[in-house]
Amino acid sequence: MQNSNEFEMSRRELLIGTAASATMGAAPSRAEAEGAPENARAAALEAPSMSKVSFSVNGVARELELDTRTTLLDALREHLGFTGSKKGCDQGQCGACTVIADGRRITSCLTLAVMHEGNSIITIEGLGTPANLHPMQAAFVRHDGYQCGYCTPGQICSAVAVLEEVKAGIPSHVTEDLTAQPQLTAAELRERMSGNICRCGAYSNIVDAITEVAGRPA
Amino acid sequence: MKPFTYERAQSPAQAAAAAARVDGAKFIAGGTNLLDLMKLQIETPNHLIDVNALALDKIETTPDGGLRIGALVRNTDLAADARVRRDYGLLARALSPALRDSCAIRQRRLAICYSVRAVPTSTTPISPATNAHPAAVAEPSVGSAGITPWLA
Repeated sequence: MQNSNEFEMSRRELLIGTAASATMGAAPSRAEAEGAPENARAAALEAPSMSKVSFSVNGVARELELDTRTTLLDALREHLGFTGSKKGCDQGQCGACTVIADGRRITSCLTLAVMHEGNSIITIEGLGTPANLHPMQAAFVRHDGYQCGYCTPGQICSAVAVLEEVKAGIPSHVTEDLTAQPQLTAAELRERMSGNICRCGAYSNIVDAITEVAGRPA
Repeated sequence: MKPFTYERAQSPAQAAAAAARVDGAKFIAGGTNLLDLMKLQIETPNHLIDVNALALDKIETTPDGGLRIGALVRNTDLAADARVRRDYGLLARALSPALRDSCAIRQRRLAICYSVRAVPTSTTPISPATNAHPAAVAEPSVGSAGITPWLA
């Protein structure tokens, strides 16, 4: 009786034993893989590279040390807390991340933060405050130039820059007379704002808002 | 995106030397095309050489009456140039903030992108402006506008 017990296994013991042997098959190979030189090289290649950059955001000097992969948008949102600029498509097609860099509107998702050494960046937070709105912000509110508001910071930054571009005489694809001062027609505004997508479809009101700020009756 | 090291070149010679020194390095200027491809890991450079500080952003009249366009001239600047607007209307229209391509992107994108951009596996559609005006982007055939051979 005693002897036979030594060779008898309960169902529970059998299951434990089976599981152990199954993991034993896998465990050594994983340990080997972790020590393999190929993996060490891969890990080194995957290690982030850091770089320093300084630029001003809304008039305040900032100095950052960032993973070189950090886009300007992520630096603004994740490292500096300026969450007004939005990440819509992250591939430069929707315009929600539009900010103004050295007076020029750019899609901040398609540019690296480290590429902006010495630049002056203006985000929606730098245009106006809730108590003291930028004229373009006020016009968007007055004309209902949004519904959900996700694209609005990009729309407004873009719109502010558009008026400057027109003032500077920069033509657009629909400008009829390239040598004359561009006119702020609805067609011009729609063309120039075409890089800012609004899923709610507030385009008519956006054009009205910009037109008002441009000094023409909507 | 794969990690990469980064440097700002201060001269064409420094940029060229860096490219020769580091295997797998790429130049970055506007970056709107390259970064898009890097996010998708279609492009995986291990080193980026920022060439924005190089003074290659001049538009100059050549003795034979053409234009010499620096490799770092932004689309918007080229489209806005009085000489381009007067004598190269098609070019101005093709490069100005236009069509479905993001207007904000064009503020940074380089004029040269339209002529030399040739990405084998790109998910980015060729710019509608390029498709609409093929003649406009073949710079050498538009008047005698040419491109400054950069880093030459």
